Amino acid sequence: MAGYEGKEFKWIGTRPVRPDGVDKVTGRATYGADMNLPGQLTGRILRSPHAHAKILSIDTSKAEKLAGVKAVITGKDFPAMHNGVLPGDEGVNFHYLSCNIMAQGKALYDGHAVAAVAATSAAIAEEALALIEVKYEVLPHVIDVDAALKPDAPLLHDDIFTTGVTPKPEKPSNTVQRVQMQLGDPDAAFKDADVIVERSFKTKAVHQGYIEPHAAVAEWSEDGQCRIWCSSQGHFMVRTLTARLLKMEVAQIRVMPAEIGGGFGGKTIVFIEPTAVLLARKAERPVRIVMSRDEVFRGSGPAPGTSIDVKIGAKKDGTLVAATGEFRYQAGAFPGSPVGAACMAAFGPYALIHVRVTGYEAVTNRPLCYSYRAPGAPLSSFAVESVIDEIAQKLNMDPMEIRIKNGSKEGTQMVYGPKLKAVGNLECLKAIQNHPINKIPLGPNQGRGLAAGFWFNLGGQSSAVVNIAEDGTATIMTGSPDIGGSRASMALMAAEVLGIDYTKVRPIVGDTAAVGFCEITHGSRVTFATGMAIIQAAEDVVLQCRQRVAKMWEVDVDAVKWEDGHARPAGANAGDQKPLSLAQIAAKAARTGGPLVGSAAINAGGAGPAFGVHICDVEVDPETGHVTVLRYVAAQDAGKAIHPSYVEGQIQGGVAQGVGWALNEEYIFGADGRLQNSGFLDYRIPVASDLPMIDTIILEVPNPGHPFGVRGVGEVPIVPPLGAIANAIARATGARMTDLPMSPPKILAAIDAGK
Amino acid sequence: MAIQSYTQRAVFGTLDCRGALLLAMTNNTAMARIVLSDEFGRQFAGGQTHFDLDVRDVRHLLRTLDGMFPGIGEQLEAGAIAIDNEIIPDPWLNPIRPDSEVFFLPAIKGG
Repeated sequence: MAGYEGKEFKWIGTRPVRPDGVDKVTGRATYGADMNLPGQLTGRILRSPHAHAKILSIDTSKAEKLAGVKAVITGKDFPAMHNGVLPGDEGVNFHYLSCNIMAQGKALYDGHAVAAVAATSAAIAEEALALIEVKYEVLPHVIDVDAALKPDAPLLHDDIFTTGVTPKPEKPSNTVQRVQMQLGDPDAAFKDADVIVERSFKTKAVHQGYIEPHAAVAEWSEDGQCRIWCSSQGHFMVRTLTARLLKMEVAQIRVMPAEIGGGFGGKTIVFIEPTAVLLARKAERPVRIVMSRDEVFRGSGPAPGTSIDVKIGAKKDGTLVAATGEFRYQAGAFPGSPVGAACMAAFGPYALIHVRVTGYEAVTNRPLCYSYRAPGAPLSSFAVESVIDEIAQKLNMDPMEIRIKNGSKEGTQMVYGPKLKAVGNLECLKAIQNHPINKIPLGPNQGRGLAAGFWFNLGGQSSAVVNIAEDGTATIMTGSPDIGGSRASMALMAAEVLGIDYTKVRPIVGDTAAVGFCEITHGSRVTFATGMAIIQAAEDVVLQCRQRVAKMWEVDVDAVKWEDGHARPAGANAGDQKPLSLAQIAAKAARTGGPLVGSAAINAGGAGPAFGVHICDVEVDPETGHVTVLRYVAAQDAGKAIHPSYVEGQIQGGVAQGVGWALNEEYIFGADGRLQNSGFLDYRIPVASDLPMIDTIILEVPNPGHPFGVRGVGEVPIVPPLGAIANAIARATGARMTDLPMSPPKILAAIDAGK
Repeated sequence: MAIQSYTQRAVFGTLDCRGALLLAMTNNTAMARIVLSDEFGRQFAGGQTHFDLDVRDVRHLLRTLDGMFPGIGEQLEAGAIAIDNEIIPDPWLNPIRPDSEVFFLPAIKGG
């Protein structure tokens, strides 16, 4: 691969108009719910009204007899899956996944799917659901993670035996796993501390809040081929999981990616697609399922609630000497919480020699907890950043200085073992330290809060194709759904390598039959990994062009160089030749060897972790406890911002979600274990009037693992806001909030308690 | 040295794990430092977490460890691996050098 270090870029770093913008603002863009096929049926799902219940029987006979009903399915229609994780399963327990999509034997949360119908209209489908008779034996439920960890808690599964403990338990429990990582000896090192702060924190489950509900259309043909249209964060994932769950060959399924109206991690798994396929197969007609907002809250994959203890010790001069954290995460009804990543990321911004992190995961009678932007890290970071801030207060030290003094940098060993390569943590801290916000005086009831955050970023499998048309314009295709502007970034990278105008490059997201495998769009990986595939595919085209021109000029390929979109003589050995543009070469492609097509299929390693540092000013109304975010600045190391507007957008979006998570958002369950706020009226996410302009600072410490220095940017921005807001409230009120969300009643109670 | 190494590998045949250890001990070759998490060490390796092994790549390493501690291989495959400070996606044939440092980590999902 060519090296681009030190190169001045023509396209990278510019801000051209996004290629998907016109379609999206005109309504032309096709989302999952927009697809309509001839003869299409409407699918609807019957969901458990109980948090925990044995399913004694399901009688679908009356529903099946209703005119207009073409198919009814239950858990029995799903093939049995192996209960365990086999090599090659990518960590997925397909039995649990199948049971989550459609309950088999037990309903494990309010909203758990127990049956589904396909009918000729939505009204008939709803009527059919009401005719399905389900007999439940209601069981005691458990919602809270600490309660679920107790040995006498209601047991969700009789096949979960805690891993990571010795001796191996003989009895099943709700405790899925224990993880622990340690450097040095923190217990001994605490003795050297002049000040120790120890705090406990509780947080509630929150939803990713994507505006677009899950939607899928499935069509089955007589020769056993299946097509699915859906929005997701990975249509290859949809294909793979649907094929496994329904015991089909992967190639039998073709998944067409729709535009996505937000995912943030919540659409990296399947919830309705296999159901749509089964209904379509049984009904022998296409079936569309669109979740209602109530179903999205009750039946998709929110981020977990937690219970956390953090203890940090420091010397008088602010040197952190020891730290421990215990992180208890709920998993929802089935295992899979991000407690491992939470442990690994919690102390990421700090160079600690003595540190221990311990994590526990517990299943609870709630929807399956799934990924939400830097899964696990925002909550562990909230706890750590709050304690760091309190230590700074106790030492009468600037919270920025304590972070700079102890900040992670190149060579810092992380608690999980590896040492950091070049990273931008200190650069972000300095950028915030030098920002004018620090000079703005604060008024009464106002406070300023600071927090740092870390995320690993991921690489993984990506494929790309670059097709050059006869006129030299390019169509580039990848299999990565565009959830954050990646099409523009792919086009910029291709334009840069090919040396042609960005407007001559058309990026598309190909379906599963059109392009090679791409992993899900998650982990801030697409600009990094799929971008790397695009770069290699474009370089493949460049090499082919040089080879064609070498033949035309009757010279060796080494005598031809590529510059500014033209083949040029590399030296006198090429003779006196006029440069040839990509368009000129493409025009002769048929006569020089055939179409110009470049491709790449990679498993990208070298993803660079990233840091973000945020500072914010808040005002707390002492009468109501309401918090107004007055000013917010976020600095983040992007490695190389391919399209800076998109990087800024990712940062601002992550901050907005973090503000909501910090101040308002929570799943509220009743005593009966049923979700009480399954709509945006009662589940309060921030709107534009809740937020100030979020100022962004992009730092660029190149990632040595990417040809353009790219680091993923999409996830780090949601990590610091919870801590930054909590610290600002603490400075404004004198009350240290340890319970998220920091809603007005809680803040008022904390203020009153302090009086 | 190379011939002696080959002979020793042949003698121990499929006992890759013992071969890796004994080869290292007798030839004083540099060995990769392998670090298990505490819970894997407790659950499978009698509490030991650090090993110096002469292994070629991740596949060889997993086989070696599984030979030493039956059942650990499948568990380790479910997580992530960092080789020389880099988290590797889908590690299997990735080379491990004699001076490499390898950490086994929990799986990381993104959002």
